[in-house]
Amino acid sequence: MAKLKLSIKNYEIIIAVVLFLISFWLWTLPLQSSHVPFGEGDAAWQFAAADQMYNADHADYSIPYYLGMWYYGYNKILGPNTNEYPPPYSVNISLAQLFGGGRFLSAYLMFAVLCMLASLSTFLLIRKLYGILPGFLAGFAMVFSMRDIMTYLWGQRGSVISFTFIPIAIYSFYMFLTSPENDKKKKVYLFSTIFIVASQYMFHIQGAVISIASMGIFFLLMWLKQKKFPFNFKSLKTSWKPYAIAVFVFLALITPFLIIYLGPQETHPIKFNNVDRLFSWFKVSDQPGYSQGNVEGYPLIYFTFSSIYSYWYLPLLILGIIIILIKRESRDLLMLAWLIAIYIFIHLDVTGYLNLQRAARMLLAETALFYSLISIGIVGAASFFGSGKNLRQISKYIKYSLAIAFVAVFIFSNAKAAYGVLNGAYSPILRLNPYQLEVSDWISSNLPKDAMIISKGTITYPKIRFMLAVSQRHVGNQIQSHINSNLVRTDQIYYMVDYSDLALLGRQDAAQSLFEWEKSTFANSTLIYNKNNIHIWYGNITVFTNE
Amino acid sequence: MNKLNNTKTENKDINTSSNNLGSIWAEEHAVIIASAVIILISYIIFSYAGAKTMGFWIMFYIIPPYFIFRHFELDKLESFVFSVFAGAGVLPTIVFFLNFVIPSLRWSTVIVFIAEALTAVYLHAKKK
Repeated sequence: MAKLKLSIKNYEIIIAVVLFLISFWLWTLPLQSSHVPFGEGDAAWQFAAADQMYNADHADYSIPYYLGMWYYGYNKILGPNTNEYPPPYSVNISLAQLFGGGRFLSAYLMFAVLCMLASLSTFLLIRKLYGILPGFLAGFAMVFSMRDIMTYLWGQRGSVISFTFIPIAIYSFYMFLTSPENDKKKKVYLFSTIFIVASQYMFHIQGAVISIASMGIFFLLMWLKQKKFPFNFKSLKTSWKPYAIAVFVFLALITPFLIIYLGPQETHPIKFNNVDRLFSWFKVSDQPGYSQGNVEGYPLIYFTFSSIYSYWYLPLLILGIIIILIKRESRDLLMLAWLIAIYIFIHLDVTGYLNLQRAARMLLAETALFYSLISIGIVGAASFFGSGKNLRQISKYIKYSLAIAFVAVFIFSNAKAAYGVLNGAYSPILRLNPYQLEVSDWISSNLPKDAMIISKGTITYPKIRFMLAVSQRHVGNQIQSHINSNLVRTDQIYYMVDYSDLALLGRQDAAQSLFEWEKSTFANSTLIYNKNNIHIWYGNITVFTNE
Repeated sequence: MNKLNNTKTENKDINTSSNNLGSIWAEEHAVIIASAVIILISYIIFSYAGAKTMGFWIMFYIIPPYFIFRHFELDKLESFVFSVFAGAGVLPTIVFFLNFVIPSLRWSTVIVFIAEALTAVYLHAKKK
């Protein structure tokens, strides 16, 4: 019996680890085929920010010259070459490199592990509040959440990681607020909330503000429900110390990094526009670029319900919302608060405070909520069959049948699609090839730290930026704007003509025309690198862009 | 006689420590096995560097905070998930500030790890 009890206790851990292992296998698929870094421009930036800490075995608020000359390098409080994120985010990645031993693999494993954690946090929240079956369903669905996967692949990984914290942050706060005053664990939940929200803030402030807003709204809803303030101020008089310590610890953790978030020269003038967006969840059909299939840099599938979820789940989602509205128990109010908070933040562009691109990023918070509500809908659907003994039995069968049907549909639609996307992501030609890695190492060893290199011939922009990351020198597609701003001297400039991608693709025609251009352009320059179809020129450079 | 007493004390210590280990195993074998499985799978997929990276992640971010949370009577799932999330931001922040004093991320991490491991061991001993 003791053994049985122990194994039941361990069920939760076993499910959590199974979810973790499925996520680990799935989300690292792009690494299993090749350890070479992948992603878009942001991915290269975030890798480079960590990689320089790994190489220096040191971290501070600054970023190196080659990275600061790219973007986000200027902070109006700290000056130029300042990190865009709180450095602890990058420290995580550099520690994985330092202790894991693989410059690329260890960094990317850490990125993958941190990005895929929504499954664990959603499982914990729903398992504890609604039971093991809905908890498993919500956690399982989050393993394959397409919006999170796409954003992870593109490279906005700080945001993805930050949004994975929301379920666990609000759970911890829920436990704090609803635990009885005399329960010792109340204080533990107070501190866990502080640590979790502070942790979340280190990755991206967007996720942290949604967590805090959800907590605030939940607090108000509990106040309305109980018709009394949900926090006993008398307890502060008798035991104020833990609260004072918690506030102090929270401020001590977040304050040193406030300047990172306050520093960028962004302004947010309040100006109401497009108010009719308030009457839809996230309308993009009226946005420029919609007809071309791209809104604010996001492909339409990022927004489409049928691509991220499936229209089959819509009734279950609505049912989930109806259930929490009808029942309105404390746990339902937490879900409702989460829903309201997300609604507010994905509509902030209406006030002018956020642009649509930032508001769209907030949609990352939606997937865990929607899958949680869908799971509540699945389990709740069965409860409509009454509470008599026989009906309860029927209700149980319906519940498990629905759950099995959901998992089956999910595996053959969402999970299959997620596998396809991750397994096919960033084929070798879209990552640095061995010759580009070799030239990056050569640049790192042979060119001065303030070298500015323009690359032409490399087939994608992110690859150019990954050469920046690997070589630890500024490699870009143009330097004209820097010259115009007097940020760069002409003797810092090098020009790389890269035929290696064209050679691998067999594009003889394109290579020939590039060769003609190179011959006429660098007649008065010196060839300082000539290997593997890659040339680097120095001196008398007269072209400052690769267009 | 003194020597005999010393030997007895040593034996007692060994017994106590093996009892402690035994009780940790009895209570926490699921988490210990889970950690081993994660490292093993990492090794199978990514070989030595993968296992080392995930081993570091588990040893630095999960195990010590897990035992600290367990000391405060949170259940296993809560302790496991809280460690993953709270550790991800708070521990590198401590390492970050420490590396201004000890100018090495590597050594700052070692010191933070020793501190969190000692805290976990101290709390466990106190509970006993």
